[in-house]
Amino acid sequence: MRASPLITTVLFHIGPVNITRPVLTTWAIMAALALASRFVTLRLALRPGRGQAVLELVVTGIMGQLEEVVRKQPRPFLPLLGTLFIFLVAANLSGVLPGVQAPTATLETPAALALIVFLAVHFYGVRSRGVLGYLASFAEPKLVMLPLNIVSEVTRTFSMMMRLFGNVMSGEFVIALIIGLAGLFVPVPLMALEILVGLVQAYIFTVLATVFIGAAVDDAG
Amino acid sequence: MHFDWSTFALQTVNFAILVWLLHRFLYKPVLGLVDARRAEIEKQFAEVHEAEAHVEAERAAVAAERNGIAGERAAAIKDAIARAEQEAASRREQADREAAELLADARKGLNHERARALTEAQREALDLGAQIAGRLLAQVPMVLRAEAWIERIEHYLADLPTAQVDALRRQLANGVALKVVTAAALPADVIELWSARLRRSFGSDIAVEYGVDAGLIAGAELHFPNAILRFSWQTALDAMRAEIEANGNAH
Repeated sequence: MRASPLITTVLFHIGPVNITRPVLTTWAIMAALALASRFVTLRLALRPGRGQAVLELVVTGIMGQLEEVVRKQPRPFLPLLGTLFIFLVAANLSGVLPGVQAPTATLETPAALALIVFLAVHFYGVRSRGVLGYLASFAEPKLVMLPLNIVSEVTRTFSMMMRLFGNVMSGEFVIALIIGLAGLFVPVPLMALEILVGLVQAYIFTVLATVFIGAAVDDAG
Repeated sequence: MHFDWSTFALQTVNFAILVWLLHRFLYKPVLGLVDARRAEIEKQFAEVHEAEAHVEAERAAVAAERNGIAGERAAAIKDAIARAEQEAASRREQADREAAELLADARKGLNHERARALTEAQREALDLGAQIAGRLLAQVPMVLRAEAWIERIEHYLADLPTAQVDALRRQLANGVALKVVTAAALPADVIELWSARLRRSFGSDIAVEYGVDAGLIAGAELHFPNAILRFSWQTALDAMRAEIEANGNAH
């Protein structure tokens, strides 16, 4: 058990770089997702089997959700937002495994994801509207809204980060407390709830990112 | 609270790498397959639409061909009707023409037959009349009949120009006899009387001979060497027959 959920444990160093538990877990998740993707896409066929059907259902389901939000062809956003959702699901649920800390339960991982979303919003906005057009969108609907819009860009990203971190971290913290106080099998209902919370938070984070990106490219036609 | 910036940087890079990995190993193959399946479905749709269009075109062609056949049949029937009507009109005209010719021929034949029958009837009537007249005449005494005939001869000769009478007289020169032919033999006194009256016309020195020819029916003929003066009924009947024949031929 960790001493504090707000402290990231450093496992080892590679030169000046700290290799922490969230990083190691993330690598494991990355390896698992990459290998699983490679494995399931090795034998794709026009007439899908059961596994391939599920895989296609997941991908096309994510695309459908993205399209409903952005109201545009979702393929350009699929690699980022689809990966965001899949990674968040895997990362949030990894905390359920014994001895594994969810990467999103530490502040650095949600912050990294929030940073990427923040950058992606501006990247897609500039690509869709052009630099001036995108910058001009901050003065909408009135010029007086410019400071608020700029502050909003930062705060909404920050709130998104904190929401994810707080929910996952608190869930793990509560489970760890109950395990320490009551015993091994008592927190099982809480763990089930944590699974649900992890899925919901993954969905919320992805949807918010999609909404931000969709708003950035909204007037681009 | 401690924020580990190296973890933050690593997680940022890690996520970027994960985006690339999933794009490379998950989205790209799956979307490629979805696209291929969609293309296959659209291809099959296109083939189905093409097949439908082909079937529709075939159906339209069959319908057009059927309409064409109906049109050709109607045209053929119309043409056949026109030709039949033309043929019927031609045959009707020919039949009318032949009927008219037959009618004309029949009328012509009928007229001819009628004329021939009329001629025959006239001839029969003439023969019957001659026969009746002959019978009635037979009841008249020969003396009276002979007197009538010699008077007719004398009147004829009296009306003849002198030159012709002289020419007849010259034929009786040198003892050539004048032959008198009658239908029945004349009695002796009549012969005497006739000889005297003929010598009065042709000269007292002429010789007169008498003959009989029943074909004359009645009357007499004077036979000169080069001429014959006919005063018999046979001559009259022959003239009338000739006239009847002429009339019959004229019809």
